[in-house]
Amino acid sequence: MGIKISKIFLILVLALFLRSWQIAKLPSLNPDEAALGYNAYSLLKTGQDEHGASYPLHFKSFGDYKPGAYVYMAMPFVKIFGLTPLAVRFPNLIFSVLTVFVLYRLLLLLTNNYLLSTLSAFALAINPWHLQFSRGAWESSTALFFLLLGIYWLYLYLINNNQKYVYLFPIPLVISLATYHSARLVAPVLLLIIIIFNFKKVLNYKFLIAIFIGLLLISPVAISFLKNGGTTRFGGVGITADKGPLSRSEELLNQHSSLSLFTRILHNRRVLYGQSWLEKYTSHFNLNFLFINGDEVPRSKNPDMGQLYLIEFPLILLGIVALLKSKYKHFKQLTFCFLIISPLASSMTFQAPSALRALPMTIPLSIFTGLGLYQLLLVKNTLIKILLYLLYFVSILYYLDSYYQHSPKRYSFAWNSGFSEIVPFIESQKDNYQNIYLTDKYDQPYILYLFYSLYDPIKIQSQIKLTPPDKFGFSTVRQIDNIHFGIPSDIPSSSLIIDASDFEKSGQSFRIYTN
Amino acid sequence: MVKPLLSLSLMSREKLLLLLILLFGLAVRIYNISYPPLLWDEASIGYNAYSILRTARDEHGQFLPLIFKSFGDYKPGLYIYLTLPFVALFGLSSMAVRLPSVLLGSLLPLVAYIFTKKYSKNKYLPIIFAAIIAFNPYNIHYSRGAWETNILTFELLIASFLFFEKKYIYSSLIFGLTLFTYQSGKLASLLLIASLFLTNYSKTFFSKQFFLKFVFPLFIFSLPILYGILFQQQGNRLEVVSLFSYPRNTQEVNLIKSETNNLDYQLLHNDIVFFFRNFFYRYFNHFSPQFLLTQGDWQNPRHSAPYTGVLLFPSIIFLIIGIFKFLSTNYSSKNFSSINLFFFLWLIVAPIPASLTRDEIQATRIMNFSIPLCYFAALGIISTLKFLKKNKFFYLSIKLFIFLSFLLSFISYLDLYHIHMIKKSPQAWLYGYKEAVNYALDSNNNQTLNYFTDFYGQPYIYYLFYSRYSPQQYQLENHLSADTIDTGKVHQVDNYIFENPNYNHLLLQKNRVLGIFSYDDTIVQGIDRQKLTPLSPINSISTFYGYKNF
Repeated sequence: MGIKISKIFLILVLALFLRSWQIAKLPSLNPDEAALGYNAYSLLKTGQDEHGASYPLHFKSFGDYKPGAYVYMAMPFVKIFGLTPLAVRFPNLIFSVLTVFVLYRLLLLLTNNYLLSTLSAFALAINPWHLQFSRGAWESSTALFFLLLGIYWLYLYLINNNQKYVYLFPIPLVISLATYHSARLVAPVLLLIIIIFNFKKVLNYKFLIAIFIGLLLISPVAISFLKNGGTTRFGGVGITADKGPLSRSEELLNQHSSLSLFTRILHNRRVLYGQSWLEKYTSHFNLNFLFINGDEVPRSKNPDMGQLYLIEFPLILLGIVALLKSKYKHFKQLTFCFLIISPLASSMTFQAPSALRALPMTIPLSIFTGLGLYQLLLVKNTLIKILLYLLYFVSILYYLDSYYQHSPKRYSFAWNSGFSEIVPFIESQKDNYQNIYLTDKYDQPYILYLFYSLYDPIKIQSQIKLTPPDKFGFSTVRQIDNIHFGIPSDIPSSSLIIDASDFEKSGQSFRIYTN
Repeated sequence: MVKPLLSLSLMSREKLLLLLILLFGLAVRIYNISYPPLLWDEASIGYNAYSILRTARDEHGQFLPLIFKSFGDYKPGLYIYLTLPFVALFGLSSMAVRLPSVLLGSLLPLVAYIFTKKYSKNKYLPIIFAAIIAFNPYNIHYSRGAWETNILTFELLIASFLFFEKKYIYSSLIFGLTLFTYQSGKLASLLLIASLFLTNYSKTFFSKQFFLKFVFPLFIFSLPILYGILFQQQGNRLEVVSLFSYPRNTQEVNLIKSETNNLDYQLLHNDIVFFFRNFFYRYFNHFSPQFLLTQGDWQNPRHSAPYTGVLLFPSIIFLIIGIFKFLSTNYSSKNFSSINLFFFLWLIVAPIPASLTRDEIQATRIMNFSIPLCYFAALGIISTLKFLKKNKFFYLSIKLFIFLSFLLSFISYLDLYHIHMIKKSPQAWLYGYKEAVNYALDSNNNQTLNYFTDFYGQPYIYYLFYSRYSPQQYQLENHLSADTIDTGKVHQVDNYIFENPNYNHLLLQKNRVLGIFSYDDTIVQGIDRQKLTPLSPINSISTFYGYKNF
């Protein structure tokens, strides 16, 4: 027993190490993280967010109304450490490491197999996909922790008949809904499926009360979501934001010389959007997405590798086969359902596959990898084992090299690097110039300025003015005091210009000109 | 009439069903066979067959070659010889060129049926397997054109069946034929023979008799190919398409080196890693949902109907079920059958020839991939039905549901193929060559100088094909020049000059001239299209425009 506990302890140490090493500067803080941090800071100082709303459940931020739970989680750390990248990332760092532990406990509960649970926890601990979203203030990863915790507590009730947890399990699920948009689809559907599979067990008044409490707890979030135009955000990033199927429908209908009712149905835009959904959904299972090239969004991936290690491909296949043969009913049901449901929310958006939104996939995939490793360890052939260890070791080395060496350089633009240096410079020059122009090539530079200059929240609440939303529904701020975001063609004299136009060629983040 | 039908036994009911499937399969393949328009290779196959029939020599004057030089791409000759009787019977037409592929493609479900009937333990698998092949988009698409790869697919299945039957000599002969059928047949056959050895492993494979019956004939067959690769130009084509012959670009190399150092590059980003990443990228593409389900071969619109994959929509679910059903069957259990293992190995090795080439996806090169795909889709349907058999009502409704979803998906495919395929990409499909050549032929006499655009490539072969140009005459002239890497071109035949005509130059001519322009020519030269005759209108443009000064 003692040795087994220390094994998971070592894995947690490894998970923590991989997630926290150089976390304060790698990756560079992105605008979403800065917004979470700055709003926490603003709440601490004034009790209001940057737009002057007091203790909201959704933060207006860039007009995207971010689910608010993460801001509240970050508050104590901002209080302790001050407004720094580390403080903003701290909650997610802790929860991401704990996710590994919850997975371990959950598998132990479902299978009662120490080795298998340890191996799966190990697979998650070193999973590049999960690492990616553990090392930053990504609500997605935090929401996944609460989702998994909720499921674990639910199974504690279902399997061990532990009565306490029937009232406890809705709480983490509610928190996950309050943390991240995608969890709002994935968590309820997963819960529903688990209820259907265990219908007899949950048919009692206690469970109904628990569900009722859950609904009661989530209702303020739901009301706030609807009131703050949550549906317009879906219009911006939802599947209908992609106009492809619409124009394809027109194209196909035009190619018919005469239209029967049947062709009208066949080429109806709803049918084509259905196909488009299917394409987006299945794209999450594209082996190139998983093992070779990864996501298209640089922030979600590492150069020259997939979301997972290529060596895991055979292990996952082996794991799926092993699970199909497995006798543990709950284990089998949960893992496959998790895999099938995880990309649901992601497939409803315009951009798929999305590693960020489909992050819950890492859980079943790690379980499969763990199962695959378990199967291989049963094999007596030492040569295969040594080869496997060696390949795994090289894969991890390749990942570390890709993450720490190549990614900061190749994707520095996507990672908005350089603000931590340029903002103090701007602060030092602020009074020497009438106007300061800062490039708007990065998404929302204003928030990074606010963050790194520790701008007084009271002063921003009175002057903040969002631009009209772009086609994805995001806005930004054009001016704070004498600092302009965006460089006009005719620049007044006595201005400081900070540009990033030559960025990719020069390899530097910014160029500074004076006028 | 009703009574005997009702009293049919299960056996003959199945045979009737099979007959229906085969007939429908044939109908789907042969209906409106002159659609889509002839591609270059098809026209070339037709004209070379015509040339052989008339003179026993190909267009280049070679006497009964095994490998046809054609455009300089060295076509393996079997398809051309298969075309001979049809060209003799029906004359030089697109139907004659396509019939070998149509017929063998229609017979494929029958071979699949016989093969699995004998070796699969499952009663219903053979008929479902046959039905899926008969109505599978991948198979239909390549059966409706003179695609050599479709013949290869047929040969591979029949040769495998004969190997299972232990008729090694016949199996060997047919595997030998694949070498003269299609370029990638060499590797495909090699991989499949390895799979057959693995599944049917026995000690007799090391006997002298086996050697004489199987290995030796195969060796004899491969001699001309080996000779060609080693001593003649034919090996060049391998080089042109191979993944190995395309080195990574130096920009990428420098980027990686600049981010770290040379040691890191040598250790973790070296050429071996690069090769494997590229190989697996291509390999996985052939298992991607886009390829199987929603787009097909996305690099080339000629390789599938638009917005459709190589399988029907419901197949994908059953394919996954089928594969995992196989994988979770214990090797030692009595449910394990070697034919499942064989098709599984086929599934794994089939995309390898395409993954070793420069294209990121290539449906044509690995069309035999369709067979294991259909097999596991069929296995998936069987397993699903078996799983649901307990509840009778549920069972029937699921059966109906599966049938209807396949039917709907199939109708949708037919619509996309027959209505939308050419309209979506008329230029890629070389739409209008027939109309353009006929326009030139109709107004032609010896005094006219004809300028025919070569924008769409190889116009000369369409001229030869549609004018039924005398092969004797052509063999004397034969102007193929090898000025491009991949294939050569012909610049002139008699009074036909194959180059993009210059409109202003034509206007100045006093003699009779005729010009055929492509749509893009008219844009590049800024010609007022009102003054030209649209020869092949499609959508709002015409792929060819004609001009004449008489």
